[in-house]
Order: sequence, then structure tokens, then C-alpha cells
Amino acid sequence: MAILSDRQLLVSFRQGDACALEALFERYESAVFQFLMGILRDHHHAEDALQETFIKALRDSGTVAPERFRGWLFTVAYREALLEKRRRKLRPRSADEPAVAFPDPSPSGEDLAEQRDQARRLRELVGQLPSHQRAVIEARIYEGKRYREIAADLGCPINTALARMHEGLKRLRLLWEGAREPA
Amino acid sequence: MNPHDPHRRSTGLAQKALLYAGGELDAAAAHAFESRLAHDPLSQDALIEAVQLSQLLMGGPLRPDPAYRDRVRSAVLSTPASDERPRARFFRRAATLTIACGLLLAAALALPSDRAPRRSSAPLVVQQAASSSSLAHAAPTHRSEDNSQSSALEDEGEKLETALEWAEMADCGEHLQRTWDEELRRKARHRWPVSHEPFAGEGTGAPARGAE
Repeated sequence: MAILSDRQLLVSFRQGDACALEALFERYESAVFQFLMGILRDHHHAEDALQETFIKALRDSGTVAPERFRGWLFTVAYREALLEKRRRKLRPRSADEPAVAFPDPSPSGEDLAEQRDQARRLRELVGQLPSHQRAVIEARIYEGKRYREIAADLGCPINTALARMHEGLKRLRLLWEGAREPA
Repeated sequence: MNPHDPHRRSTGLAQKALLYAGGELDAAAAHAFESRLAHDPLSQDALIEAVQLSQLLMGGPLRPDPAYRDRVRSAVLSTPASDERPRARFFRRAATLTIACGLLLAAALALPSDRAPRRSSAPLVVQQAASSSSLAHAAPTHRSEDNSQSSALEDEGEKLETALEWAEMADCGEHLQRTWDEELRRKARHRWPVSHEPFAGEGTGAPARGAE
């Protein structure tokens, strides 16, 4: 099946085609959600903002050129994230709310077992990374250290620690995707 | 090394995004990066990648609860969008607003024009009548000498009375009723010129204005 452009999907959506809406979800949901997670650092708040983003962006999609739909979607997402942040500032923060980490969206028992299995395989893959990248990733993920602390421990500038982390994670992703592909 | 080198820029962005996603940027730097997220696709992509990579280490990418799709679907498909819809809505609202403003303006213009002459006419009449009332007080000394002047004074006295009555009236309906009564009286005066004149019995019996 040919990949439809945003313009084609939006035209179909405006005619009431639910399949076009599904295609738009598939195309942008993941990126917008991760973008919102990056700003809000909270799964539930990111989910709420994602819902509002799609509703507002699609309702007003007639005001933007279809080829600029992606940019429009992220603009709306950004506004929604800031609104959510402002709302959070006004709400009193509960004691168990984490400051930085991505919270667990309460997985079921089966999901939990799968996550543990994935974590074990990831750890094996981290072992395959070059030692300077592995040292940073292990310190960050398994020891929970901040980047400044890692840089201080390794005796290198923070940018070097960050570059090693970034390169290491990209390599890890390649290894992960390679490991998941069927033989 | 060239600071505008695209590779270096993207590396710098990736590092900033990692720090931002981890909440490790200081307030000023976080604010600056956040401002770029509003419009810069490179910064947006860098943040998305930072989050993806971080989630990878937490056991794979997190996904939103698919139930949100139903909520979006029911919100946006119940009122199908169209190219013209927002524009048409805008013009419809603008037209409604313009018509409403026009009506208000017309009403605002019509009201003073309807009332102003009455408001201004009453004092004018009062003024005219007041100036003539001094004549009216002085009138008895001259009435025997000049009949026409007497008639004029009577007329002015009546005008004063009318003006005072008009000035006391605040209601439009009252004005109309009063106008109607005045008109009837005027017609009656034309028909029976002497007997209906307020001062017909006094003085020298000079012919009333209507009889002339």
C-alpha cells in the first residue's frame, strides 16, 4: 500500500475518514508523545497533553497548509506542555512525585516480566560497547549518577561524558534493533 | 574548529537535549533550550532522540494508553473539520459582530437625534417664554394702550405655561399625548376663536389671533 502524504490524510480526515485519523496517529503519536515526555517528564501528564494536542491540532488543521502539519502539531504540543507545566506549578506537588525520572505507567504482571527480560538483554548489549561508553552508561543508568558527577569521576569535561553517553546509546539502539530482528 | 559546523551543532544539541531530558540543565539554560523547542525542528528532534535513548535503557519505548485515541476520535470526528470551516466561522463571527455594532451605532445615533431636539427645545421655549414672561408681568400697564400687544402677551403667557409643562414631562409617551392635546386645542381654537381663549373675557375684548 502506498504511503499517503499528510495532505492526502488530512483531506480524507476532513471528509470524516476515521482510517486517515488512525494513520495520522500512527505517524505522529510516538514522536509527539516522546517530545511531551521530554518536557513534562511524566507519563500521565504527557498522555493528557498528547490528547489535547491532537484534538486542538486537528480541529484547527484547516488554518495551516497540510505540508506544514508536522510543525503545527509540535507547536500545539509545545503550547500544551507549557500549559500543563503551569498547571502543575499551581498544584501542590505530592511527596511521592518524582522530580526528574520517567515514571512507570503501572505495567501489568505480564508487561513487568517482559520489561525485566528486556532489561537483562540490554545489560548484555551494554557489555558489548566500547569501555569508555560503557562506563558512562553504567554510571548513569545503573548507579543513577548525574552527568556532572560522572564527568568528575572519570576526570573528563561534562561535554565529553555527554558525547560518550550519546554515542553509546545510539550504538546500543543499533545493537538492540539488530537483536530484535528475526533471523 | 568551526562552531557553525553542522555536525558540531547537532552534537551540542544532542548533549543539551540529554541534559534537559534528565533535568540537569540549570534554570537559564533549560529556559533557553525550551524556547527553541517552540519553533526549531532540530531541537525538537534532539529532544525526541534523547527521550528515545533514555527509554531504551528503561526497557524500551513507553507508549501512551491507546484509549486516548477514542477520546480524540469522538472529539474531532463528531464535528468534521473542513478547509473552510474555521475561515467560515471567522467570517460569520465577524459579520455578526459588524451587524451588532452597526445596530448599536444606529441606535446610539437615533436616540440623541430623537431626544436632543426635545431636550434642547424645552429650554429654548422656557428661555423664550421666560424672556417674554417679564413682558407678561409688565403687560397690564400697556394692555389698554395696545391691543395687539396684549394679544401677543397672552400668547407668550400661554407659551410659558406650555414650556413649563413640557419641561416637567420626562416620558416620551407623555410628550406625544401632550402634542396630541395641543393639536386638538389648536383646532378647537380655530373653530371657536373667542370663547376658548384663556384671556378672552379680560381686557378690551380684542379679537383673538384665530379670528383674525
